[in-house]
Order: sequence, then structure tokens, then C-alpha cells
Amino acid sequence: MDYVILFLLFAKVSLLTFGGGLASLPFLYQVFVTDHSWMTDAVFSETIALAQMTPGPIILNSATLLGYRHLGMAGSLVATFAVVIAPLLVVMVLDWIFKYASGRARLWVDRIRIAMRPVVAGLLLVALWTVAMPVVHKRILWAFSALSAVLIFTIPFLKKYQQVLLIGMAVFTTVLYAFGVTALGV
Amino acid sequence: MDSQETKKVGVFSIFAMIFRISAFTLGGGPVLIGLIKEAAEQTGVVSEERTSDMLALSLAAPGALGISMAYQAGLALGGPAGAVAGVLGMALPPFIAILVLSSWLLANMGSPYITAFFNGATAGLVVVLALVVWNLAKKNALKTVKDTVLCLAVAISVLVFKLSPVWGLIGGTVIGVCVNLVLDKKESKA
Repeated sequence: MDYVILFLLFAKVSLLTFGGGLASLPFLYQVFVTDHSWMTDAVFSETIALAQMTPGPIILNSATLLGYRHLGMAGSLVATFAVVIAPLLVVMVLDWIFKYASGRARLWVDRIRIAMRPVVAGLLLVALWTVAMPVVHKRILWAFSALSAVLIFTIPFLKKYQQVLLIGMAVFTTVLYAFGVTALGV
Repeated sequence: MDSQETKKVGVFSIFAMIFRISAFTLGGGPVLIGLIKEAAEQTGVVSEERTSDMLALSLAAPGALGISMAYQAGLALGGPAGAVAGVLGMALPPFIAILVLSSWLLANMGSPYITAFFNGATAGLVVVLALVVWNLAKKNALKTVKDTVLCLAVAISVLVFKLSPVWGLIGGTVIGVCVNLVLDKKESKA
């Protein structure tokens, strides 16, 4: 029964969350801590911090971790499945409408598609800003951003496999910290 | 569109592509969808226009952006099997992270080594994401003044005036459609 509740909960959270996972966190807090006391405030905060540190979508990481901490591996699977499946159904329908609308409906779908493009660019600009803020505030990181830019423009391999660059930079700063560049550990 | 769909990417390469992005990208959904867009274009199977539509649809649909994008990219590159491969590639890394990393990360959360690691990753991420945004803006927001204004207006409303992104998307699209309709009418009169 717990599994059914968990599934419905995460399906609901997932369907009510627009524009990225951070928006779903207050709602999850309400359910896990305030309403059901499934975990303490401290454990919840710790879990969410971890969800933001691990790679992947934040809402997916939160579901996997909260499910795991609440009901173990099976809980983790159920929560992840709910987060994945609920919005997929919505995307399938929207995708189908985008592709197969015809006549007058087609005209409107095309109008919306075209109008959406600059708006989407604007929203990604917001995402860039959010990611850039911590770097802007730590001057020492400017050098590493500049280095990344130089590398990405000069080495085609890194342009194609950008994850290699990210991991490389991460390892590089960790090693520098180990060799005494303490400003990187703040 | 049909001619494009005759060319396909293997299911395993789709899985590997999305898995790689999901496993090594910090920063959540907005970053993930940008990187998937670029990777999908690099295969040469889907057009830039098509991947821009995927991006818009991911933002318009509820739930994890990465999942919606992985589904669409997988579907376009390899049909239904590709869609399954894409979604699995996106959903598996968090699982593995839990098995391998979570207890260790929890124990070392305050460690400066971990901070240094994430600092380096973030410094690189800014450049990677800036490139994604630049490529997208060049084709979709910088061609006409009207599009540039709309793009910046949405960004400012969300950042400065704390408008929720979903209202930014809906409001911006409605305004865009209206402006385009008015301009089209003027053009046909002239």
C-alpha cells in the first residue's frame, strides 16, 4: 500500500512541476516532513542537497533518493518510475499533436511553434544565469572558465564530448586544491 | 520529415549518448536539454528546427525536462526503441549514483575536496551552457529585433521580476503569436 501512495505522490508532483525540478521541492517537503513525518527536516534537507550534487535531473534524483530513504531500493524504483512515466504520457500527446495536426489546427500549431522559439531561448538564458552566478562570485573560477573556453574552441574532441571537459576541469581543480590552492575548496 | 526518418541511429548509441550526458552533467534539467539538443544535431539525423521544437515541448510539458527531451530525441533518432533507450539512459545514472556515491557523498558533504571538484565542474559548465544558449539564440532569437526583444523580456521577467518560468513560457508565446499575426496582416496589406 505504501508503494501505491509513493507512486501516486510522485506522479502528482511530477505532473504539477513545470520548468524544472527545483519548483517541486517545497511540495515534497510538505508531504514528506509536514504531512506524514516520513523523515525529519534534517534528513530531508540532506537528501535534497545530495540530489543537487549528483548528476541528472533534480526532480528525478530527489525521487530516487527520497524513495530510497523512505522504502529502500523498491521505493526508489517506484518513485523514479512515477516521475518518469507521468510526464512522458503528456509529452507523447503533445508530440503527436505537433506532428499530425492538419488544416486550421496545423496553422495554429505552426504559429505557436514559431512564437515559442525566442521564448525558449530566453528561458535557457535564465538557466545560464543561474549556473553562472556562483562562478561570478568566486573570482578564482573565472580563470578556469576562461581555460575551458580556450580548450573547447581549440580542441574539436572536447567540443564533441563536452562531458570530458567538465570532468577534466573538476579533477584539475581537485588536484590543485590537494597541492595547496586552498581558495578552490571554498 | 519522412525522408529524415529513414536515417536512424542505433539504439545502443542513443542509450550511450543520453547516458553520458545524464551521468556527467551537473546543474539539472535546463543544462541537460541543451546538451541533448546539441548531441542530437551532431548525429546529422535531425534538423536544428526539429531539435528546437523538442526543446520547446520539453519546457511546455510538466515534469523532469531531461526525461521529456531524452524521450523526444530518442524517438526522432531511433523510433520507439530509441525513445525507450533515451529514457533509460536518462533515468539510470541517478540510480547508479545512489548505489555508488550517495553514502560516500553524505559522509563527506562538507569536504573542501568535494567543493573543489564541483567548483571546477561549474566553471566548465558555464562555458558549455553559454555555447548552447549562443547557438540557440543565434538561430531563434537574434534574427529579428522583435524576437530579440521577446527573448530578453522573458529572461528579465523571470530573473528580475521572479515570474514563474511556466508563465514566462505561456505569456511569451501568446505575445509572440499576437505580434506575428499583426505583422503578417500589415505585410499582406502593404
